[in-house]
Amino acid sequence: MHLSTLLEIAADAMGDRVAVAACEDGDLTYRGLLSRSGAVARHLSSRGDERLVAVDVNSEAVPVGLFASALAGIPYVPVNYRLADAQLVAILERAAPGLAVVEQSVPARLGHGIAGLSTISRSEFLSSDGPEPSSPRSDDLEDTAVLLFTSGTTGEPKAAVLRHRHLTSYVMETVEFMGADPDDAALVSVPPYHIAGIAAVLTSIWSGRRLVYLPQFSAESWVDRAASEGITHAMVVPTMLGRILEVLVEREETLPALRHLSYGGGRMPIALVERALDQLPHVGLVNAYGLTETSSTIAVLGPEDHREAVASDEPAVRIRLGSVGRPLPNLEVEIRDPFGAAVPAGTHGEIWVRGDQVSGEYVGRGPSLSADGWLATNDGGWLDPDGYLFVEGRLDDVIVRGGENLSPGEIEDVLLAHPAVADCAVIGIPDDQWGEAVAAVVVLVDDGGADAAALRSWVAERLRSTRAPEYIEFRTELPYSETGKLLRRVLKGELRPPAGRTA
Amino acid sequence: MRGRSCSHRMADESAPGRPGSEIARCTAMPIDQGLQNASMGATENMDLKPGSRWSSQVCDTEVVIVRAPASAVSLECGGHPMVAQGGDRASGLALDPAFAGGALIGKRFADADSGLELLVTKAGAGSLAIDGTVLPLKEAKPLPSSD
Repeated sequence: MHLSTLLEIAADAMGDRVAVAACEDGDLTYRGLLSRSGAVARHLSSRGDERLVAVDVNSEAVPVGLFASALAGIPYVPVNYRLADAQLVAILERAAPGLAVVEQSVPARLGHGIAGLSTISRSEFLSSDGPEPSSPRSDDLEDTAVLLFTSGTTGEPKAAVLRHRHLTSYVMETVEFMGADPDDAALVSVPPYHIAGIAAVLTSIWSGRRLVYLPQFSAESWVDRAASEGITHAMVVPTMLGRILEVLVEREETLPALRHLSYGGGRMPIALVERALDQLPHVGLVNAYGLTETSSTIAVLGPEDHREAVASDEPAVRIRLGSVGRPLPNLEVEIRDPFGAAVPAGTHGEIWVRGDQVSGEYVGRGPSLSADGWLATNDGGWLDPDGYLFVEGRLDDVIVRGGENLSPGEIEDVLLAHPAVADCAVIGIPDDQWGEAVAAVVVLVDDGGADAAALRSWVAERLRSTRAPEYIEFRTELPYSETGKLLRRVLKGELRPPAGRTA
Repeated sequence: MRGRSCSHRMADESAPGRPGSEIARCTAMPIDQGLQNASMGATENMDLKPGSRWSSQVCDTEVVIVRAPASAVSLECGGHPMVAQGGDRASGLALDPAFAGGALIGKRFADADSGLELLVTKAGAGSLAIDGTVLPLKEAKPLPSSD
């Protein structure tokens, strides 16, 4: 299918339903979203733009931009407007040529501008129109629908290519057409340059859910909007959830309309999940695991899984609270060894995935799928005998200490289970004797009393002594990207082992 | 176009509609009914590509193709070939009571043999069929919302 077809079908079937609520000039219905997108598409076609770039906060310009690009047959390229000026310029040079919808402050930050890239303000963009194009529009499912620059926690950002067939396959296989109740509303606070921001538009439109945008995330405004709009569905990244739960307590707010709260985009501390279950017993929690290059979610831990795990005395069931659930039924997931051979349940290895929604393609790099369609995710993990997937983090982050492979995630989980630990990151640092040594950066809870020796023996008792951090540094916070990814690269650059032990 | 015996599909319990009427059709009609329907004209070179939209000639039903069939088939609704959305309907056609089970919006139908999959985008009174055989409903277990 083509993204344009999704919207046309939805507009035919649910024309009068609200598609995007509380826009600048009121609600936008499904029919209104289609006609607005069509007008903007005519503007893009008449200008001959090759791409539509977005450098802006969240608003109705996201769904309008996404569908207008599809109708005009050009890629939609949302970019993080909060990047430092030099980085922003570098990314926009790669995103050009085309038209860029920009937030007010952006043009001044681009110096003399970007060759081949015109800019337009959001309000001008939303009211733009043009003559009917002379050539028929492209409905090629191989066309690029969206280009997303991956967050680049390691090295230079790559531009992931998502074609119409990838995104619509994800939507069609995971969402029931018009499956939403008429009052269902989704609060979108993840930015448009995150795959979850794109997926939220498509799955909401296809299911008939009203989209409500938060221009930028703050826990206070999220809670305000969720309460005032009667939000039923929302997706948050880990860093958002903790703050939201705090604000809910402060305000004694329970969000009675909320039914589904999904989280993903990074490792969620189990203690935080337990707190959410306890604090919002009427809400179904959903843990979603996916990559930009898999068109969003590939595995989900659903509300029942959460409730079962937390109520179970069975350790093997209980630990599923830390899993990402089971792969979507239309996908195949395997754990493989370093030689690419599948390994049995319970064995650690690399997560591989195959399915119609899997792109695994980057601009200028050629396809990275195997000949038979499998994508190596570069994430480590394992499957339990019932098919629950446990993700241990990027394989690049694995610590090799004296020939032994140590998973930072495993050590972090144990540290986070210590009552005095609020947050932590485990990384490898150069070591003369072992090649790499285990280092931990720990944030203590407000009244937390634990010293390095206590934490070291806590880990050694629960795992083994080789996994106990040799260096522990205490900080008041850890560096995260704004989409909730721990910036291990930043920590690696900052941490230096004590003098005399550096390699 | 392929011809297909009715008995081939009679065992298919997931097919909606009435098994009794299927049996009646089998005894009363030649095996190559589908082929005959196709030769009536409207279905020559029916290009059922993904994303293409089709309308019933005898009721309100509209569908979108999700997966293309591996081989040429005739897509029918209410007992008559469907036409490309916006295309001309033949005059004088009536809903065949043997294909009047109805199609509900949002439902998926799939044919295991050809791989054809479609989605109903507008409800109607006719039953969906290919080559004279009612299409079985594809049951989908809804997933929890993750976006």
